[in-house]
Amino acid sequence: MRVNLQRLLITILMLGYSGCLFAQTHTITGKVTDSETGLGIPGATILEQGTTNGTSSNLDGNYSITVSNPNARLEVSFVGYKTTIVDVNNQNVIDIILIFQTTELEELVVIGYGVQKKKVVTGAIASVSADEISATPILRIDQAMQGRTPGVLVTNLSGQPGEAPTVRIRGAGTTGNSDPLYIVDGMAVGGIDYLNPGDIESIDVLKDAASAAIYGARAANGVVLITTKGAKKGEMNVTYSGYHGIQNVSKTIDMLNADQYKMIWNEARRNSNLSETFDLDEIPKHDTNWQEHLFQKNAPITNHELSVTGGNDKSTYASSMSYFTQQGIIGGDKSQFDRITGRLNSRHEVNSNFRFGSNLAYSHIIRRGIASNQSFNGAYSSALNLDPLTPLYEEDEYELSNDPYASEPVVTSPDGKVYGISKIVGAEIVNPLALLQIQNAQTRVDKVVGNIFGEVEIIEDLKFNTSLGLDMAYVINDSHRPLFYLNGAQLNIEKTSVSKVIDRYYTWQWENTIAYSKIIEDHNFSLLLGTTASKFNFENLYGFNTKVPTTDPNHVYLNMATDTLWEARGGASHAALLSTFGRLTYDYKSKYSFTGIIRRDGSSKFGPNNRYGIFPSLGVSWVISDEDFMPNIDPINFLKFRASWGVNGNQEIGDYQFISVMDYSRGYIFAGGRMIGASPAYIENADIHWEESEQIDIAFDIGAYNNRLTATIDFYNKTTKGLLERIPIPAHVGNDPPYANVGSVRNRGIEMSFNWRHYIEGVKYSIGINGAYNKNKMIVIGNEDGVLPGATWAVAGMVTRTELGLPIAYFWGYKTDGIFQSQAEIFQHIGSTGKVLQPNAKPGDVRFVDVNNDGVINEDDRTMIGNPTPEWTFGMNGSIEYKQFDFSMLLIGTYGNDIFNGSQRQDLYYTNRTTAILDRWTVEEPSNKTPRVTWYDVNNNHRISDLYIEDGSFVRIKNVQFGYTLPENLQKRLKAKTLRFYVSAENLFTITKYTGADPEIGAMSSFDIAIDRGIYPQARTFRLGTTMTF
Amino acid sequence: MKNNILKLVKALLVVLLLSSCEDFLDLKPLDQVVSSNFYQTEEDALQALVAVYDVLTYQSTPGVSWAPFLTMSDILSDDAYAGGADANDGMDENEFNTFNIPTTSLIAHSIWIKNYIGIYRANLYLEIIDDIDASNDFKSRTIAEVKFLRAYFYFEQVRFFENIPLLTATIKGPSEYKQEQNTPQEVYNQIAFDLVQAISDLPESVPIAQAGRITKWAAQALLARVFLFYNGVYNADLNAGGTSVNQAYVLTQLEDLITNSGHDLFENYQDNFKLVGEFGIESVFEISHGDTPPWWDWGYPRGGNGNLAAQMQGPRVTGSQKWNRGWSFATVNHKLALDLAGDPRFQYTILTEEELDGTLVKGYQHTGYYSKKYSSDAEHWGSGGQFELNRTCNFRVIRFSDVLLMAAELGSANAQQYLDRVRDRVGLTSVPATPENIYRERRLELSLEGIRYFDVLRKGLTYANQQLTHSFRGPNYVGDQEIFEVTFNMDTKGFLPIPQTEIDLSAGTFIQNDGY
Repeated sequence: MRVNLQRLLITILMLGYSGCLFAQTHTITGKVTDSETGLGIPGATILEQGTTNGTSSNLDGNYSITVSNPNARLEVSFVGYKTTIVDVNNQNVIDIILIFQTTELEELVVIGYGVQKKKVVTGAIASVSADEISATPILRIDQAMQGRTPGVLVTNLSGQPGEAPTVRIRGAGTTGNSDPLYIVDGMAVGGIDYLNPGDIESIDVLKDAASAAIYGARAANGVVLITTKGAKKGEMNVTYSGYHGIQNVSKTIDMLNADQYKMIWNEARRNSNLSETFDLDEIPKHDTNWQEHLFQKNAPITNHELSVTGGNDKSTYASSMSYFTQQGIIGGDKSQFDRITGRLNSRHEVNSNFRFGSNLAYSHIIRRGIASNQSFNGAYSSALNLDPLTPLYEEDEYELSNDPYASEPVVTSPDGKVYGISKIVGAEIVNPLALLQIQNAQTRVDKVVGNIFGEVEIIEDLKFNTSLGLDMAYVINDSHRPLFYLNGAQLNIEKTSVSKVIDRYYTWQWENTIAYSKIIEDHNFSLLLGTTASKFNFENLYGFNTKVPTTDPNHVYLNMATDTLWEARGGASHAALLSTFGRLTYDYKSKYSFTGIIRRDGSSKFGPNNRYGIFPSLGVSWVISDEDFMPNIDPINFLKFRASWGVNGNQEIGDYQFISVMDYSRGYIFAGGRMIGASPAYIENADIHWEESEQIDIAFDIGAYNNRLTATIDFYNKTTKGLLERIPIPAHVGNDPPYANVGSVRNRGIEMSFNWRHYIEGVKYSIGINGAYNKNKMIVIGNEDGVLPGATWAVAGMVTRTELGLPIAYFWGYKTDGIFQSQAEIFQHIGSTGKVLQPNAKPGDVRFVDVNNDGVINEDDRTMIGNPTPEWTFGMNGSIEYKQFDFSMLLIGTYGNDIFNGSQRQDLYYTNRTTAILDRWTVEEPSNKTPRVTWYDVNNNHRISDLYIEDGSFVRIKNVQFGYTLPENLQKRLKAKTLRFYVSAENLFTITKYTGADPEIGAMSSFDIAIDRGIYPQARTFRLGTTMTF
Repeated sequence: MKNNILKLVKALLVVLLLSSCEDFLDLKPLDQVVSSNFYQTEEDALQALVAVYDVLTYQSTPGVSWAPFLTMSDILSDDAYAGGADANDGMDENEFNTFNIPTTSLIAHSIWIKNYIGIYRANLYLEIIDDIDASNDFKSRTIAEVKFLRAYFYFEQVRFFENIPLLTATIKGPSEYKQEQNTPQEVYNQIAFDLVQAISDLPESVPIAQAGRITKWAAQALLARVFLFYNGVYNADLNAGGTSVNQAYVLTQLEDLITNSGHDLFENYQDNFKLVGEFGIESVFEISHGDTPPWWDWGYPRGGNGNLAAQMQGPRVTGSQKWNRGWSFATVNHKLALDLAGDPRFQYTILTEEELDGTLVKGYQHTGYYSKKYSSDAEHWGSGGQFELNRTCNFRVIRFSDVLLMAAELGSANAQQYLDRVRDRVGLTSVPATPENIYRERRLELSLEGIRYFDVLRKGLTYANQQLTHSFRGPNYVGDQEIFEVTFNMDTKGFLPIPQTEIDLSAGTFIQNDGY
């Protein structure tokens, strides 16, 4: 948030003293201009030094001031420029040239329960401003952090509209929920997809423990503070902005065509001593490119928003409405996100010591989604694995008169065509268009988030603030299962069914703070004391029945169901948090700063044994460049050292985990009917407590070339202890394990950001580069084998693990060492005991490594074969403005991460393959990378090994935007204050070695990262948009 | 004004910080009952009892594997191959089939987990029942039922894994997680002890609506099965808390059962596998399956009550009116078909592909034969839910014909009569009641019922090796000869490996079984 504090203060001073003019002794006129552009600067402050006498320049930069004597001195200042002092020296005309300097240090940073001048901030806080948000039209507010905030890894979960990206601040700090805490206008909220990006004034990410400590038991994964736009005093502004865009797939994968597929099929059978079933000379009846049919062309994306701001001295208001709709590139309206928002923010100053205001937002969201990264039920997964011989539509009369078309409820398209069913590929691989056709699930959300607050200045500099907020949502989930027959394994041929779930979430929060600040000469003190009470309530209702005599998804309600199989369920839960906190900040001349925070949280998530936690932090900073003894090292003009230490908590587990509850899902059918049984749901552990994350941050902030160049370098070491996990326990205990505080994880890293801003000859440009390195390592796992189970892929079982000494969710499998080229090589592959390690292998099979060197290759040889989490993440943004034109660009990237490419179902021998299989090992053309094809895979070539692992590093041009603002005279003629048009492109191109559709794969859970099961890729989008203010 | 505000602030802080804190934060579940308050009344105890019965129907461990006892023990035996859609589909099952079982086998782990859940719930019941406000009759009967069930779970566990920890009380906390394996003798004696106590307290009959609850006769029959296996493998008698459970003791129990229980053979052999025969006169112990509640959740099949074995073993056929959409696991070994050739029970035991209507997809290790006893036949299709998860056929664990044959084998004075009864029912003429004939009759009468494998093991490893090493692919086979070749692994003595995960979690206290 940039607030021109100085200007505000001066304006207030001027207002107070404007009546007390001295005798007119000397009048000066002149013009204030920019040193580089030569253009006049409106609104610059001209002050007679040592007095409160001052004025400001007009629209063209001209001013006039009357001073008390001809030898007075003028102090001329304007935000963004270096303050200049000139001696009047009896002159009557003084033109003043101001030198531009980025005054980042005067900017205010939101720090939680207040703002602080950037110069005295002791913690690591990364900010994104409204300008930056609007430079990249984003769909969700969390995407605004992508590439702009070093140390904040934002990974889109997939390309499906409306899906929440994975946000990790300084690495995965826990094996549980690693999402940061989101605070919107002071209110802790459950999710931020309800926000219209256009409403956001700023995003401030509290990265280090010391900054986040003010949020105590919920802050261990970092805190994201979001401030919505308020209004400034003045005339009414009406702004419309909107865009329309088209989205297309940016990369499809080369799959075998029908001829190639048949050739590989025959060869695989030949290698298995089976007959070759295809006649390669026969021209195939169909050669279906499933991806071509699957991806929508020019899927639309549209946004309209209208905001009205304004106000007078007493009251200001900022009100907005928006409508956003996006169709997916897979499934079109089956994968669609619609959002309507309305917002009213207002502030009222009743008198000089009492003001109040409110923020109120309503959102309506409709979300239709398909499985976006699933081996089972994933449309893209099917498109990549289904054979090209199957037609999109079966139109052959003979086929249609036979099974299954004749006897089963096969799926038809809206225009009545029958979707083809493969005769050779089965299991979970189905016609992807037919699969999309039967998807009918829809989620609708009505959400209100708001707060009302009041502030009283009790005595001078002592302010009491109270704020009451609420976050309420109704979420309705509808689903309808029609009759369908996709293949012999994926079918619902008996009964249609319908279900509805209504969830109600309701959280209130009441906060009270007292803030006192005092300036004694050069010493600035401020003290904040506060309390927070909040309560979360959840309730739901579920209904289900079968036999719905309609196929129109818009007509499917529970009342339509005709069966007697009614099912209903409903439940509720609640949680509460009660906290007190205090913060003391002190600085001397802004040179030495100190911040101390202590917070005590009481949480209903923990039992009486461990209900309260205390979270302290300390931070110091020292502006070395303000020291007199500091020599002037050109071009450095600013140097600040920061250090902080703190402890944060994480309590994100389910409610009541400290007591055991009864599970009534047990039952047994006796002759008289089913009786309900009950037993404890899990073993009790009354001693659980929050996870504790301790972090040290050491940093330098640097300014050079008149602060045109600013740089920040942070080093951190963050250790989270007492990870809450349902850790595997011996099965003879006989019940599910309880949550226990069982592990520690360490994240260490470096973050760097460099920003350059400059005006030169009418060109205003900026370049920002940031990079972050993070190393993640489990340092304690509290069970006997030191292992936490991880994610599974297809039917292969576990492919990730979390293990002592290794990063969270590393890829786990066999190591390979090329391909056996001959029988002799197979016999030479001997283990430590002298036995042939893979006696059943044949030339062309994969050579596996006996990692533990025990003379056999078995499960114990599985090892770390990849790391899904990037070592380096980086972002680069640049912008240029020249006259009416502006251009901006955002580039993001990762380095050092691996992807598990499971988009191919290699465990099913009959599925289609990428054209990479054409380089397989054959006698004629040996390969050392791709094994031979066979249906009788005695060597188990396709077991989970490093052959599935690919380098996931990438660089992506996330956004390019080109804008044009109408010249002022034209704007004036149109009665507009600003009128700008732009074109932009997202995901324009990506440089990566990864062969799958999209290297950006978010975390499905803490243990399921970067596994490509046929990821719904992100669209390449082109947009045309406008912003106009009247 | 300012003073008032200060007062207000003070009051707020006092209210928020000091008072009502505990009440505000002390939140209990709204829609769930806390375990520590649960066990009060007879009704609560009954629910706790049902939770023990519930484990009988568990045929899978969510997130681990499907592992129906019936299917897996028949795949281990020479009654059935692994089957499945293809070699990959049945990979884990094929490891059982070929005695090439890795210590990481998910199926073995699934079985291990299931039985300890049953044992935990039984132990918990025995701990809470004392303080329940219930009649003595209720207590003694339900305690006896729970002891039967605990014995049942331990028997399945020790028969599969041999060296297991024996727990007769629930584990109270992490400090007790670490347990050592007991000797098979200790485990079997505990099983015998539980059963002997159960026999004395269990009812002889239950009201019709309660059919399915354990009777005295079930406990007697199970004791005989335990004795025969233990005696066969370890060549010793059992000690049930001081009572010697030997051949004479067991035979007395069986004679009591045969004479006084009212159990008898069905007139029609096939009724044992039909709805009409459920909880019928021939069923001494039966595990019930059904389609209530109709179940949909693939991730948690055990929440429903369907017979997963029936789904797995059904033929992979579509468009059939008689058998439908099974997964063709446990395809029947041609060896069994040869043994049953000419036997009237063939047609009720083995489903041949010629009998199928609809379109048959031939899967892995296709022999042309499927089990007809537990299958995806039309009569047992559920009426709601996901059809694969709602097959309704009950599992007849101990049939009266088994009881007759066990009594005959144990040297009953009526051995000839018992053997004749079993043969006569299916229209076969009498053969002398020699040990060989009695044993052979078991093979024919009880095949594909999860009995054969353990019958083979208890005859000694030499015999087991003869029988379990085989290669009978049958006349309608599909696939190479080598996929029908099975060699028994004598080193393992036929036991499964202790699951690797459990060895890892035991911090070095568990010792892996021989041969792994």
